[in-house]
Order: sequence, then C-alpha cells, then structure tokens
Amino acid sequence: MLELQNVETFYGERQALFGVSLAVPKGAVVGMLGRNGMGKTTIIRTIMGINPPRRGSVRLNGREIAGLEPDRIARLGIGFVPQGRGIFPSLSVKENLTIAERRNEDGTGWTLEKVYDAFPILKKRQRQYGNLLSGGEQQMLSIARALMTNPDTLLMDEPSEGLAPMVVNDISVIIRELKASHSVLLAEQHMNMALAVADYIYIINKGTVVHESSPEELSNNVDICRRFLGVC
Amino acid sequence: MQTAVLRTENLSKSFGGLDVLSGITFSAGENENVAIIGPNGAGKTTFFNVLGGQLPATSGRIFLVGQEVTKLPPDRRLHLGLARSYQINNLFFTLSLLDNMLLALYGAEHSHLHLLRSLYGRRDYAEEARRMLELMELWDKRFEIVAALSYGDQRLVEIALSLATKPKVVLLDEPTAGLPTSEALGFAAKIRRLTTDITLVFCAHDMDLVFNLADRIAVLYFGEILCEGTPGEISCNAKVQEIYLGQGSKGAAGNA
Amino acid sequence: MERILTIFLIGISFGSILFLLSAGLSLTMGLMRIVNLAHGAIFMVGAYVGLAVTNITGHFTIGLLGGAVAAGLVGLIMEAGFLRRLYKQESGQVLLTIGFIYIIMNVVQWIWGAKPLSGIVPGSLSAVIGIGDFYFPVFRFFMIGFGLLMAVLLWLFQDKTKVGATIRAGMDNRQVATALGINLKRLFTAVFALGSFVAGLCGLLGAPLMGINLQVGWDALLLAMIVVIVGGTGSVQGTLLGAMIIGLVDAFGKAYFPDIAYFAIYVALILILLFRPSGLLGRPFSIQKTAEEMTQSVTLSAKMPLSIPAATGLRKPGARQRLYRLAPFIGAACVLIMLGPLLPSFYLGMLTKVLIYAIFAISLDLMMGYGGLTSMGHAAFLGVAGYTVGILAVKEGIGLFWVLLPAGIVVAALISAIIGYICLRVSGTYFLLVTIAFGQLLAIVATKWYKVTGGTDGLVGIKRPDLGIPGFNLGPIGFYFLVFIALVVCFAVLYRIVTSAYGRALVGVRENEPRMRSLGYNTWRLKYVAIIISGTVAGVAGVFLAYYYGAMVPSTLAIEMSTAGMLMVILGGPGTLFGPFIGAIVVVLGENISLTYVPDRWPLILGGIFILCVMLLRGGFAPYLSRLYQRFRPEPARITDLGGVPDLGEVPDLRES
Ligand SMILES: Nc1ncnc2c1ncn2[C@@H]1O[C@H](COP(=O)(O)OP(=O)(O)OP(=O)(O)O)[C@@H](O)[C@H]1O
Ligand SMILES: Nc1ncnc2c1ncn2[C@@H]1O[C@H](COP(=O)(O)OP(=O)(O)OP(=O)(O)O)[C@@H](O)[C@H]1O
Ligand SMILES: [Mg+2]
Ligand SMILES: [Mg+2]
Repeated sequence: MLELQNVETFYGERQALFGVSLAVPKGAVVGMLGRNGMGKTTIIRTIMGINPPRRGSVRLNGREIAGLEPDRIARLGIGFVPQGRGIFPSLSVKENLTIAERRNEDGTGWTLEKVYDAFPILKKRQRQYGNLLSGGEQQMLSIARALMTNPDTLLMDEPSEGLAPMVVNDISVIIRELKASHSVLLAEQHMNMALAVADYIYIINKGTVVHESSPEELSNNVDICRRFLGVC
Repeated sequence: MQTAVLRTENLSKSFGGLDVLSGITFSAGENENVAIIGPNGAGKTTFFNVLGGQLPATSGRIFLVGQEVTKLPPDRRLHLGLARSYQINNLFFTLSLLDNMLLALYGAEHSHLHLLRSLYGRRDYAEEARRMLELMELWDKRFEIVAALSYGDQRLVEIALSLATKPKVVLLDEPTAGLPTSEALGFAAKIRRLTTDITLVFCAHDMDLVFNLADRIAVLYFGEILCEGTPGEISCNAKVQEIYLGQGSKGAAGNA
Repeated sequence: MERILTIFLIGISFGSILFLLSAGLSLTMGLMRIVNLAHGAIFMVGAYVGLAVTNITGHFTIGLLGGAVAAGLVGLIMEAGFLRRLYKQESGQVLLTIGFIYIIMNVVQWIWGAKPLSGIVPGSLSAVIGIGDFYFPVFRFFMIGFGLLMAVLLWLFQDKTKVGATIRAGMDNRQVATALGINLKRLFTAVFALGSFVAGLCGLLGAPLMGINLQVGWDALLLAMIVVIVGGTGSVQGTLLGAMIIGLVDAFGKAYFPDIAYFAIYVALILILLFRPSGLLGRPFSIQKTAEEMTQSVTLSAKMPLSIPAATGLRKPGARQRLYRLAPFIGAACVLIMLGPLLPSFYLGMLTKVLIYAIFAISLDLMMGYGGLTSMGHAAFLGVAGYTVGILAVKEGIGLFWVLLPAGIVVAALISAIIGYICLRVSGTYFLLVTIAFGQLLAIVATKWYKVTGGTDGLVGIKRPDLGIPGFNLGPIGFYFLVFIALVVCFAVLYRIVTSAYGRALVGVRENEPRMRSLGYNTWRLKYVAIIISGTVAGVAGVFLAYYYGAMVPSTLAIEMSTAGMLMVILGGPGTLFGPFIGAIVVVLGENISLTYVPDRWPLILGGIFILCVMLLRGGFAPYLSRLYQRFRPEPARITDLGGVPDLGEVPDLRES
C-alpha cells in the first residue's frame, strides 16, 4: 500500500504539487491522467525521492518514506519506469538489465531469462548499446529493467509513449498480468489504455487531484473528461 | 504524383551486420504530407537520420529537389531545404524560448560569422519569430527558459525549430510523442497551419494524427517499404492490420 | 641486437610504471568522467610517504603499501569531500583538482623540503643481469612483472564485475541509476580511492625512473594524460597499450635521437589525435547531460540572471536604460584613469599587471565561457606573442612598438590557428587534456631551444615600448595608459563579438552542438573562429606582459599561467566579460598580498582559493554583482522610437521571476 497525503512539492521556488493525496492499494493498478505539465511526473518523482516533498507525507506500507534517498526508497520495493525511458546509453541492453538486478529473498521473481521471455526483442539486441535501440525498444527495456529490481510497487511514467499500437496492447496485457503480484501506479496520456488497465483513476490538474473514480464512472462522466482531459 | 522534392534510390543502412534499412526507394512530392508508419524498430528514425545526414548511408542515393545530397553534412542539407525534428526533445534547454527561435532562424543563413551584427536587431527574424510563436500560442512564454516549459510546449518548440528555416521538406519524428491522445488533433491543426507550402514527411504511432494529417502513408517493415497508399487503403490492408495496428486500433483507424 | 633488446626492456619497464600511474586516471576519467589533474600529485604523495615509511620501518614492501594507503586516503578525501558534488562539471573539477595540486605540493615541500630525494631499490632486487655487453637491473623486471599483475587484477575488477557497468550507468543518468536502487555515492568514492591507491603504489616503485621531487607531480600528470589519450580511456587494455607505446617511444627516442627525445612522445600524441582521436582502443569520449540534468542546473540557478544580457536589446532601449547599462563600465574606466597618475609606482605596477591579466582572462572567457571550450593551454598563445616580442627586441634589436605589437599578435593568431585545428579533432575533456599537452610542449620548446629563446634564463632586457615619437619616452604612467587603452579596445571588441549573432551561435554550440548542426550551422567553424579570436587577444596580453616584465621566461607559457587565467574566469563568472576582469583583480591582488606576508605559502593559499571558489561560488562573482546592480534598475522607459524593429517586449525584470 502506497499512500500520499497532502503532498506539496517545489522545483526551486516554483510549486508544482499543491496538496496531492492518493493511494495505491496492494494488487491494484491505479492510473493518473491529466494534460501536459499538470504534475503527474512530479508525483512519481516525489514518491521516488528524486524531488522530495516539502510538506505532506508519503507512506509505503505504513512507513514514512518522504525524505529518504532514492536508492533507499527503491530498495524498499519500488520500481521506476521514468518518463523518457532513461536508458543508459553507454551500457549494452544486457548490462542495462543486470545492473538493476535485485533478487527476492526467496529467489523467486523476475530474472534475466524471464524478462527476455517477456520481451524477446531485447534478447535479440542484448549486446547493442542502449541508445541505439529504437524508441519503442527502449521503452520495453525500461520496463524490463524496472522488473529486474523485483519491486512490489511499480511506478510507470507514460509507458505507452512512442509504442506502436500493437505493442501498447502487449504492454497493457503485461500490466494486467503484473497486477497479480505488484501494485502499479501509472501516469498516462493514452487515455484508452489507462481506462482499460486501471482499477481506479485519478485526474491531476494543476498540481492537485481534481477527480477520482473507477474507470467506468469516468468514461460516463463527459463533463470531467472534457474539462480536464480535453476529450468528449 | 507531382515532381519529387525528396527522393531516395535503393537507400540502405546497416550497423555492423544488422541491416536496418534495405533498399528503400521513396519519394515525396511538392507540398505532400507523407506519413511513415511501422512497428517499433522498423527503421523509421534511422531513415530520418540518414535523410538528415546525422548518419551516413551505407549505399544508395538521396536527392533533394533533384540534387544529390547523399554525402553532404547536415548543415549543408539544411541550406538546401531539408530540416528535421527529433523524437526525443533536443533543444537549447538553458536558453530562452526566443533565443531558441532566433538561433533556428539564423541557421538558415549561409555564414554565421557575423561578428558585429546582433541577432536581436534583425527585423525579419523578430517578425518571423513572433509570427510562429503566436501561431503556436507560445508568444507569452518567449522569455522563459525552455527547460521550464511543459513537455507539450517543448514538443511544439521542437517542431518550430525545424520549421523556422522555411525548409522545402521537413522530417518530423513522432511530433506528438508524449502528448495526450486527446491533444494530438489540436496539435495536428497547429502543424498544418505551420507547414503550408512545405513537404512534410513524418512518422508517428498515433493513428489519429496519421490519418488526420497524411495524404499518403508508407508502411515500413523490417527496413523495407511494405506498402504505400492513401489512408483509406492502408487502414483496410490486412497485412498492416496484422503487423502493426492490431485489433485494438481499428477504432482509431475508423475515425479517419 | 642486444642493444635493441635492452632498449626494449627499458621501454617496457617504463611502460609498466606508466601503466600503474595511468590506470587510476583512466578509470576515473574513462568511467567517472572526472578530470583529476591532481593525479600526478597523488602519485607524488605515494612516493614521498612510501620513502619515509621505508626509511622508518626498513621494509620496502611496507613502504610501498604505506605510500599507496596515503595516496588512497587523499583520493578518498577528495572524492567524498569535494568531487562528489561536482559530477559532470568539468571546469569545476579542473579548478578543484588544481587547487589540490598546489596544496599537496606545498605541504610536501613544507614537510620534506624542496630538495629532490632519490628513490630506493631494495637489496634483494638490486642485482643486474648481463645481456651481451649490456647490464640490466633486476628491479626493472620486477616493475614489469608487477605492472602486468596489476593489469590483470584491474581487468578482472573492471570487466568481470558489474562495477564498470554500474559506474557508467551512474554517469549516463545518475537520477535513474539511483532510483533503481544503486548506491552510487559509496561506489564512486571507493573506485576513486582505488585509482589513487594504485597510483600511490607506483610512486615509490617508479621512483628510480621518475625521481622524487616537487616537479614530478606535473610530470607524472602529463605522462598519464598522454598515455590515456593514446590508449583511450576506460579500458584496462587501452591503458596498457598506451603505456607500453609511450614507454617504448620514449626509450627508443632517448637512445637514437637524444636531442629531441623530449618531443618524441608529443609527436606520438599528435599523430594519434590526427588519425584516431578517440585513442587506440577507446570509444569516443563525451559527457552527455541528460535533459533532466540540464533542467536541474537551470532550476538551481533559477534566481540568477540567465544568459540573456544581450536580449535587453530587443526593444530599442531608451537613453536612461542605455546609461544604466553603460554606467558601471564608464565608472570603472574613470576610476582606472584617475588611479593612473595618483598611485605610487609600486601599486601602479600592480594595477598594470591586473589590466594585462584581465586582457588574458577575457580572451579565455570567449572560448571557455561562451564557446564551452575549456582550455588549459591558453598561456601558449600569450607566451608565443611574448616570445615574439622578446626575440625581436632582444635578439634582433627591433624596438618600435608598432612593429612588435602586430608581430606578436600575428604569431599568436597563427599558433592558435594551428593548435586549434589539432585540438578540435577532439571535444570535451579530451580537448582540455590536449590543450594542456600543447601548452606544455611549447614550454619545453622554450626551455630547450636555447639559441633562440635563451632557455631557462629566458630573454632579458626588453625595454619599454618605443612609440616612435621623437623625444618621447614612455614612463610607467604612460605604459599604464597604453595597457589601459589596449584593455578597453579588447573589451569592446570582445563585447561586440559575444553580443553579436556569431556570439549567440557560439552559445548555441556550447548548449547543444548536434542540434546546431542540424539547424544549419557549421559548428566546427564557429568553434575554430572562437579559438583564433581568443588566441589573438591573448597575444595582445602576451605582448604587454613581455614589456611589463622586461623579460620572457618559459614559465609564462606553462600550465600555471593557464590555470591562473582559468581561475580568473571561473572566479569572476564565465560567460560574462566583466566577471573575468574582476577575477583578474582578485587573483593579482591576492598574490601580491600573500607574497608580501607569507611568501612560502602562496601556493597553499591559492589552492585554498581554488577550492573555496569552486565549492561556494557557483557561477562566480558576476551573477551576485549583477543582481546587486539590478536593484538600481530604472523604471522601464517608455519606448519612443522602435527604429523599425518590431516590439518584442522588454526582458522581464529578473528580480520578479
Ligand atoms: N525541473 C523543473 N524546474 C521547474 N519547473 C518544472 C521542472 N520540471 C517540471 N516543472 C514544472 O512542473 C509542472 C509539472 O510538471 P510535470 O512534469 O510533473 O507534468 P506532467 O503531468 O508529468 O506532464 P507531461 O504529461 O507533459 O509529462 C509543470 O508546470 C512544469 O513546467
Ligand atoms: N547505431 C545503431 N547500431 C546498431 N543498431 C541500431 C543503431 N541504430 C538503430 N539500430 C537498430 O535499428 C533498428 C531500427 O531503429 P529505429 O530507431 O530506426 O526504429 P524506429 O522505426 O524509429 O522505431 P520506433 O518506432 O520504436 O522509434 C532497431 O532495431 C535498432 O535497435
Ligand atoms: Mg510527465
Ligand atoms: Mg523512432
């Protein structure tokens, strides 16, 4: 269970989050929707400890994690798929995966082989440098890399960006499968995908949560959609 | 088809043993909007890199308005009228938006050794920058550093930079990457407004954008052009359905 | 045949020492992208401490270890205390590590004195082996064996563990690597300390070849740099190859061309640069900042005035605003003019020196602050101009200022055109290293070419400028004003250039060179022109410096001079022309004051200034001063005449944002 309460985050003097509260229950996929620059990435970076909140609390399974170093937070079981993928260009695909590797105590979970099974193209490209992958391949690598840390909770920042429609479907399937063992917080622009995979949706606008509901409810709420997402 | 503004003959590119582009013969006519679609890793970005001169071609030839440019460096190609944007934002992040625009406008000049003349005193640049920024509704943010703009605005700047030099052909690599699907259409409208009288070659995974903007679509598959046609033809093509669109996107294709 | 074998073995054994010396540098530079110029000084610590420990304990092995541990500790302190906060900030790292060089050398001198010590060879290894008619020391075989052993160990460490990949990941994208759960801080500190440890290990081991003296800090640094450039950074194999090549070139050069052996390794270096800029086994070397890192640095400095000084010209400024902008410059000029006749001659001399250094500093700033080309061989341009004046005046007896000034400038321009051409084969950190090497090369030429340059004695007896006006002799005040005029002219020219379209394009190259290229710029030419202009202006400073001292000595070409210029730029604020000017005042005054009161400890103080300046003064004095000055900004005047320029608006007052 990941919980944010009244989180306020700043970039220098500029406030980006104005009291955000949300919760990611165990085994759920929670989606965040919102236009560009509304604060989705900032929320994820705040949880990760990259931009720690100035006020408010971030709790993981009841434990306060705000203020911890990002590497500590990651080792507490949070996996990170950054916006723009954040592939390490001077590492091969395989190295990108292995440096992130962290086994579960009982030895179960994701391994290099399992990840390669899930994304066969990565196996084909395993010796290639990260920056030479195509955009979509990088996205898969980024997700695979997060899985290698065997997290309980996954933070995914626009995983569908730059992916072909068919691969978006594949990723949706993977996210739905992950639900069995992981909680997922998903920031998305691809509304259809988010509605299809998420159990619960938050809409972020100007650094606050302006709406929360189940996806079904949201798709019926034309007014909200038009006001905050620009669709009808 | 009218006269080809951009044309390639048997263009190939391989990295070590990996053939990423194999024998692409492609052309785009005057003021045509051509979309290139294809699965991830099909070679779209590589194609643009070879066209733009960021990567050398392994074999084959590239012609721009009838002149061969295969061996020219990117700056020379730009002066002949070929500009491009990037899939991942590639901007002057620490400079102001206006500075970014002015640098792009100044790039079209043949020599950049004006040691005495200021960039800000150029009336033509100032007017053009204003026109473009107003079209994109970014005029109010002209003094902000680009890093402080939202991602969507940066995306627009990315495209504006490539259009600033009034190119004959512009290559846009996933112009709407990272924008909400709901905004792609508005974005397409802005691109349309900016690219009148320009040959536009772009690639995208966003079918709304593709079907909205393209006159013609070429499907790239494992480094080869699988088929070409009007949006209508492509969306009904069974093979394209199978390898690219998948079942989930029929709806999007149907929008066109 | 035996002779060749012996020379070969000499080369290989020297190569082994070079490998140990460079391995650490290659590791930290290739993987961590740290430009650690103090690497040679750390090596020196290893030698001195190792010798002391051996003398105390009587055991060579304990001595070796003692030296290595001491060196490792210095590395530990440097990384954990300072460098950690300067990742990917090249000029900051350079300045910091130079500061450490000064401090370490001065402390070593304090403890052990300035006299050179001699290395020791343990009794068990002091035998010699006969090879035909030649004798070869067993100790040299020990060096070879030890070097190879360490090579294997380091290779296993780097390639067979995840360490190498993890560090590269950290450099590629620190934020993401950390967010994947990697503790980079500990890892980086450990690896940096390891590199220093290995360098320290060979301090005592290499002492019989390198010597134990204060100069060895610089010598070792240069050698290590050349090895790394030749071999390519980041891989153990590359370093080993580079070290062996340089060792052999040096040995054969000394045996067959003793007169010019000094240049043999530089020739090797230049050839490599021309034909294989990334080194024999290296990958192209560049520091890539992620978009996020750029954004961050902007956020950090969000309150500082950004680099849009020229943007104020967008709207035709009113008279008041023009006055506001010019006032500080006019004020400074008035003060300088008034000080001329008022100051006692000692202080006038000092002020003259300040102005000469200021010309030097602003010239460097064009390259460094605007073009992003961090050069540490800038003194070369100043030096060749000075030597031109010296040679023409002393050897040829030409006195006329109107001949000497243009001659000096033209030579500086030519040399910068040549050196710039070769240096631009590489970029980033390599560029910096290559400029150091060229500066040093010219300094060696000046030292060795006795007939023309007077060697270490230099050229003495350059008289004050002869302006060619009959019956008029230039006194100290006259000379001061001459320098003042030169500064004003140089400043005005450079100001015009940096605010010109070309100047903006240069900034674009600094920020994002690939994008500039696809926007239609020939970025190579932009940079090349910047180097030539910069070198030419440095030549002006060189001409006046020769007059000022009345002599030219090799040290004016050397790295100390270049780093002094760099300090002025960074202290004052790179990318602003008035900043380096202020930097020059601070440095010259600081030097004079310190030399008056604590003559032996000036390097220590200077080192301290370097470190404080890097750690506390991000962006130098300039941003603080200009923010202060903005308090007095007049109300934006109403625009009366736009002069045909469309109204782009006034740049917002930065206080508000
Ligand atoms: N490094 C930064 N410095 C200053 N402001 C920033 C920085 N990064 C983001 N911002 C600002 O914070 C706000 C929230 O940005 P954020 O990136 O969280 O939005 P987002 O919802 O993820 O948008 P997108 O969908 O475009 O990724 C924006 O207004 C943006 O301009
Ligand atoms: N420099 C390179 N060296 C080796 N392989 C490369 C290089 N650049 C690209 N590739 C490979 O070529 C293929 C085509 O890449 P490209 O980036 O052109 O794909 P794309 O069509 O743009 O895909 P996407 O839609 O995902 O962006 C990929 O499989 C990639 O791994
Ligand atoms: Mg985001
Ligand atoms: Mg691509």
